[in-house]
Amino acid sequence: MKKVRKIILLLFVFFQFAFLFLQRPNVVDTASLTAASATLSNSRLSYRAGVATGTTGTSTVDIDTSGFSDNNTNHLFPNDVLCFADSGFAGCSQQKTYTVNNIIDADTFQLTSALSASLGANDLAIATQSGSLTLSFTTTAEIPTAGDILVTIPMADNASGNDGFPDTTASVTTGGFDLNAIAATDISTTGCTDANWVATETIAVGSGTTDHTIRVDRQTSACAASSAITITIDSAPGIVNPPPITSGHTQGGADVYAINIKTRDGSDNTLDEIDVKVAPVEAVLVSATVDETISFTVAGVSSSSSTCGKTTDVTTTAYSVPWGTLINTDTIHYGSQQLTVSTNADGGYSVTIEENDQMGKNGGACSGASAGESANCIEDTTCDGAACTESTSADWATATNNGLGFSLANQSGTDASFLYNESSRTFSSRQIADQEASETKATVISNAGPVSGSSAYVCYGISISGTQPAGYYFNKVKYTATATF
Amino acid sequence: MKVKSQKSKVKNATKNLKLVLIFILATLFLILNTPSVFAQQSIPLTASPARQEILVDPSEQQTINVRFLNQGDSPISGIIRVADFIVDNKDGIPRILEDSSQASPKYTASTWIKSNFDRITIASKDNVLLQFNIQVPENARAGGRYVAIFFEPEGIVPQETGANQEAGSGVSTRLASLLYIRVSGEISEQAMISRFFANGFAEFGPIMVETDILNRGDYHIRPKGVLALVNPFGSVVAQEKLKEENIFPDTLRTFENELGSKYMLGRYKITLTAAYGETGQSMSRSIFIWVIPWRIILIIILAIIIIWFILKNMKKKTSKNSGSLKKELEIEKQEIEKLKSQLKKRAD
Repeated sequence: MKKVRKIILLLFVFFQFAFLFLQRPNVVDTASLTAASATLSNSRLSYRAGVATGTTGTSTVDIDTSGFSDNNTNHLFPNDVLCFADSGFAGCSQQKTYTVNNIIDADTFQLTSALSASLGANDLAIATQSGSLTLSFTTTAEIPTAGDILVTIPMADNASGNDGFPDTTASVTTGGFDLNAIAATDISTTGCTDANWVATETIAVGSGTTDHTIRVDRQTSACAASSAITITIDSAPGIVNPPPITSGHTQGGADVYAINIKTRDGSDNTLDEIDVKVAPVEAVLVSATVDETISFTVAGVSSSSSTCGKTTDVTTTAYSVPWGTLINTDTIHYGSQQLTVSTNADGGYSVTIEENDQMGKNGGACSGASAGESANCIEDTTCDGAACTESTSADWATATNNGLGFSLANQSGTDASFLYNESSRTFSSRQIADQEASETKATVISNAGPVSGSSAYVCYGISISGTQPAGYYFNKVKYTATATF
Repeated sequence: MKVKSQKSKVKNATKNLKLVLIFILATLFLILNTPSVFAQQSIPLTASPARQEILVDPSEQQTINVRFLNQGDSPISGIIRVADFIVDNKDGIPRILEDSSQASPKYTASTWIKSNFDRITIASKDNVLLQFNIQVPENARAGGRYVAIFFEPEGIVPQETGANQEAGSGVSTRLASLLYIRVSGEISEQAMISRFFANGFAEFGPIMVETDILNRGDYHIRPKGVLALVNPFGSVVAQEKLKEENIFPDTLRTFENELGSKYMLGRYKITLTAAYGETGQSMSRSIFIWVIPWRIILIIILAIIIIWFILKNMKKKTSKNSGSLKKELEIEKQEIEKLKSQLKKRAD
């Protein structure tokens, strides 16, 4: 009887311990995953502002200055793609996205194209920022077969966290990322024999206050401790970054979100765990303005130089062509200047030439386009066969065809509007546009695009007859350099 | 032995002297043959920006800056002027209007712009930043106004020496910075493709297409367009962007594009669709062209005909030969039959 009592007592104690063991099992100690990191390929916060006005047919949009994630245009840049969505997020207005052309002021921006429909007062201007997310870590404990990795990505509370629109909240604790309808094919897991991880990860889109989770199951064999593992959500479509939190956010400061990674055994007991931080932040627009410039140099050319197929007789300066005494009559005297242009203007440049009048004795007026010797003028040459004007060139080889004219030769580039040797001529020439006679200024060199150091010689020729009245003849020639309109 | 080495030394020295002389002569030739430019006699100027665009409201006051740089070794003095300009050509070359009364008041604004300087001197390797105040009249019409701000070093008429027949030209230089002013307000935006031309028939591609776009609006436009070449089966085989260039109001601008490859065949359609303006206006036009490499086609047809003739002749010859062979065979057969019958007779 005593023996029976002892057995009963022993059994009672045994069952007590057994009950306690089964009812309250030892908690497995979890360790922390090591070398853990989360990397966003695009760490820029999404842009989400309220629309104040935006009228159909116009390209400017005003935004609300309070009550939204973004209350100014500081975080919106040229070339950002915008979607104007209503508060129900039923797609973009008119199923159309727009591109930001430039930022006009703190609450106005301009689009590259006009709005095809007026925007509503409750509409939102949204520039979604999305990209890939890469999670890397090293396990501390072994993940057994049938174990898994569970990634928890924060989602904005009570938002539609899978529609591709960035979701706004007041604080980081209630905010998070939009999964943007990613699929298992967008996720890859590497490390610890890639093929032993399930190919089709389990994605659970968050709802209410529950965050998104992605579960990667271990299928064929255990993953040893100290294994380096990388989980990547690719950038197409990529998860959508949240906009700035609506309360307590400082522009330029990051909103820091925690992504939880845990490894689990087959019974979903946590083996290792860590919270890795990601910090989306407003981007900084780095820009430099390069002004369009135009550089123009006029330079003199010394005598006895060979330009336009002729040897110059006089030394010119940038300010003058001093013909001096024209001792030999019915002889063409030559003098040249060099013009050089550089510009980064995309439309190029042009240089025109004009003269205030034909050469008049002591600067006297030479009325009309062909005031000659009888009017005490050295008239503009009409070249051989009276064939050239300020816009038409002709050969000028016969010195008895007196007057003043010019030709052109490229020194660097091909910008001269005509050439001294065109059409097998020896000195193809034109008149200088006479402003006294209201002639149209003619282009001497031009280019339809940017140039660097395009250069040409302007080669002047002058010839007088033996009956030219004695005196000092002069006029003023002017070059005008501008960018092309 | 000694004499021999001295001789070779003299020979070497002569050779070196010759080389030096050749070098000096070549250098002299190059120096004399190159037109010498007087560095100190040049006017190297830069204007920045070359073009700028501003938006103003009626009765608004605004300031713009223009910088002129002197990259030369000597100071340069000259006048600063503001003048209206227009564009009256297809190449977009601005024409500065010396007298603002010549200009259509629709596009002028030179009288709105004031500067504290009308004459400046820019030190060597230095620049001058000039500020211009724009006072927009209250009743300013919405649209574009176009102004050139230029620096003009003064030309010097060469000194007279008192000779009998003496001449000289003073040369002055103007370097302009262009300013496009957009007066805010409702404007008319209207442009059209006034000419869309390509040769109706071509032997080979690519096809040269000329497009004239006429801007009938109140402000300059910068059309963005694409030319597409559609083959006879309706597929787009080539696309070319229209060069983005400004078109002055009431002015045409000509664009040239090349489309397609060298070898094309059939009736092609060329279309141009372009967008312009602030309100998303568009314009489009299309033409049809034929591309037939007729010489190549002619050569192929001739080659086919020649080959056909050759084959026909060959066939004829072959059939002729076989006919004669048949005849010969027939004769041979008859002869054999004859011989057979003769042999039979003999045997009988």
